[in-house]
Amino acid sequence: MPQFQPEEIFRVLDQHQVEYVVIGGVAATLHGSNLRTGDVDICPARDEANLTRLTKALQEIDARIRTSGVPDGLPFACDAGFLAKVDLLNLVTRYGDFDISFIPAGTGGYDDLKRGVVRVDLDPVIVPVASLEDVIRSKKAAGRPKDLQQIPVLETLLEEIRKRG
Amino acid sequence: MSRPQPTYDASPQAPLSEDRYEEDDADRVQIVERLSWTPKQRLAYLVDMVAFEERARRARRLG
Repeated sequence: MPQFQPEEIFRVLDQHQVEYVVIGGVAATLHGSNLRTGDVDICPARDEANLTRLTKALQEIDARIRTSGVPDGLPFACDAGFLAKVDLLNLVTRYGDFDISFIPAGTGGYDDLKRGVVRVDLDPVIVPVASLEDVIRSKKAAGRPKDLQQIPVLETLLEEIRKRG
Repeated sequence: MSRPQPTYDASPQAPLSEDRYEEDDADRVQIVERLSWTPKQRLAYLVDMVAFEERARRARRLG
């Protein structure tokens, strides 16, 4: 199983100038959450040029379809045409699990999320992260038990951030 | 600024409390601590935690 290295995934996305927003558990972590997560989730822009850049990044990190029973994942047609047809991809890469969601639950996708984006300095890479409000909104909309269980902690985090102005 | 030293609860699950307020307080304490870290430190802590859990999982499998 590849070691979880989110900063390497961000480095490669940055190197290929992919437009995206970090969502999900890692976004919550960067805001200050104490919840555990083991994969990187992003929402990329869906225009053809960005999908082509994303394709190159995915090839560089050896992205394969994640599926149970196949630790190394399954190969797939990693091109812009394929990415244009899917809404969600669960991948395994040389830097750990990596999920791509073009329309995260409760959101309108990249253009919606980028309005609230927070740019986080992970020196040397600046990473665009969904606002905590949007992370909470999406988890509530997803409605899975594991997402709903996290809401009280994320709301506590939001309260503490707001206290600090 | 030095990187925070991770501390882990190595038990299989966090202890269950009958008092939800105690859990809320524990989360709040951890959150307040993390808010004093940089985002890079927060991510590094998560990466260390995931690596620690993976090592523990492998050790259990070998044992």
